[in-house]
Amino acid sequence: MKIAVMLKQVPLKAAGMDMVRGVILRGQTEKTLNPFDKPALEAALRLREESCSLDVYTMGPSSAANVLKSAFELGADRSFLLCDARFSGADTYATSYALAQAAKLNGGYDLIVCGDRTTDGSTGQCPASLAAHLNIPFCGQVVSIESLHRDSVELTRSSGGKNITISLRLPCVISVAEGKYELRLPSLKSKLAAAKKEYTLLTPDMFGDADPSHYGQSGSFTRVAKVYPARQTKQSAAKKLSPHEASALIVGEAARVKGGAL
Amino acid sequence: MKLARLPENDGKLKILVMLEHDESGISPASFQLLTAAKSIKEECRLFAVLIGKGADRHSKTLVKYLVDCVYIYDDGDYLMLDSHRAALAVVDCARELLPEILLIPATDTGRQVAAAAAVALKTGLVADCTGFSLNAASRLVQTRPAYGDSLIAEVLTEKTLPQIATVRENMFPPYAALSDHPPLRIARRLRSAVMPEAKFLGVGDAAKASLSSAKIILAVGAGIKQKKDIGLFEEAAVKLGGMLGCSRALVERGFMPQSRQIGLSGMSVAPKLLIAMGISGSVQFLAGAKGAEKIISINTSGQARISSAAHVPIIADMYEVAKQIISG
Repeated sequence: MKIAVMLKQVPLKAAGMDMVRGVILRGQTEKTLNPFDKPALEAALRLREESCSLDVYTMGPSSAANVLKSAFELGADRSFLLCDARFSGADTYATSYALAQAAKLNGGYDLIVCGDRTTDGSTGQCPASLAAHLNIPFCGQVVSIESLHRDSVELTRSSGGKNITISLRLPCVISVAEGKYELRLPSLKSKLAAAKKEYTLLTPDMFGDADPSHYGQSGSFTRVAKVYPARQTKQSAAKKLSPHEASALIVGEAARVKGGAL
Repeated sequence: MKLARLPENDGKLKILVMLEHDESGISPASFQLLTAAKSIKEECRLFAVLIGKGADRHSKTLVKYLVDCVYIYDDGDYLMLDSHRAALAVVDCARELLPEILLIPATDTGRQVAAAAAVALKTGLVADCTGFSLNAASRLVQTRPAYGDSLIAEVLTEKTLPQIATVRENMFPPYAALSDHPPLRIARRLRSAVMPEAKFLGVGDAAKASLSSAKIILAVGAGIKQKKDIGLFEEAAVKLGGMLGCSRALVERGFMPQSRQIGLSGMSVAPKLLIAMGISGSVQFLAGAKGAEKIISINTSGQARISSAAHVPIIADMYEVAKQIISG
């Protein structure tokens, strides 16, 4: 069984805006693995223990290789960095297209695991787009991978207050929600093994579709026309209370709500 | 298969909305899409698509909403199972109607259906829109929060149609029902040659109670100093008979799960009482909290933006107040 995980490196803190110059402050903050990718990686690592191979992919600047290194330290077999100027400025359509081309390059996968969303773009669109580009089924908000079979996977999806258990045909793409999969820490042994592993650089000319106009900004259908700071609300005078007074006020209001509900 | 006659092309803007529904009917977020569509252009032609089991039954309620035609794909329960396949119904409908704009609720399922539909239709998709307008070239200007919610972006799908957007819940009021209305035009369609790829095995209620239905919420934000402090506030929330929620800051720091996040990129809540402790009150947090009947805020200074939005802004130490609630 071949499994792939798609990872993203995101800024540790939300980017700010220089209000005086009117420009977005990016590339200045520390970067980290997208927190929502952690349960996806953990779910895939557990499947790897059941005699699967695990490849990880990420697209981004050269610094994104750090998330691949972390994945190696946790036990990933191979890793791929999509890093090229022609990939830059991609919207979710072009991003997922590039990832689909990369997955095809390696002969495809039985199961591709993604995080539900990222903390920076936060659209949650890429996993479903990736499945559509590969023309294979998709299931999101997966809280548990129950069992993996030769041609299907049994999953529990949690959405809208319901847990639904389904069987999805392989190959497929899933996105994993937080829940039972807490990302493990690397062991000394896996760290040592990781030191010998190196990622593979992928560029558009290596893909089945090598047309550069299908990637990055030129492969995108959307364009950000304008960005401005979120409107700030006006201030009002707040009352200074002692902890005791504040607590009494809150408890009183809560009692009123509970009383009204009876 | 019964097909309604396609509306003649009168040059009016055509907007297609995908409505979600469950056993209890068409979802509130879906009715808001009708308002969103009309906010783009009042004189548009409005079409709706309903997918999955029960679609036929629920479509009847649309008679009062001035929808030009409802497209129904009532041949299975696949919407929740495999959004890629569900998207094919939306794609089929869009190819039939050729709308300029396609709106879909920004729910878990909606955003996945939208993503798959955009790929199949080779067009742009903008997520979590909070507002719309048309520019001079009659292209849709889609407004959404960006870059960690501190900024607002206006995004265009420049050259292709339909311009697809998912619409954030509770940004538009529900569309008002009409008392006087023409009969509803309905088109029943079947998906073409789709292999079942997902099998339904079972359903159960998710174990966790949801924030969105909580009557009392204690929400905490950046004022929390470390992860282990969450327990103190969880206990205070329970003592008050409520649930603990949080702002985006704590999800990003890994202190709280995203299922507890209130705000534009989290959940929209509507409690009777919201106690916000150590939350600065970004526009995005407040958008998620605007359904709250009463907001009490606790901050160490009166400078926090939430102080102007709260009904009762208080300056106090959130840790001390929480301890007092627990012991009191």
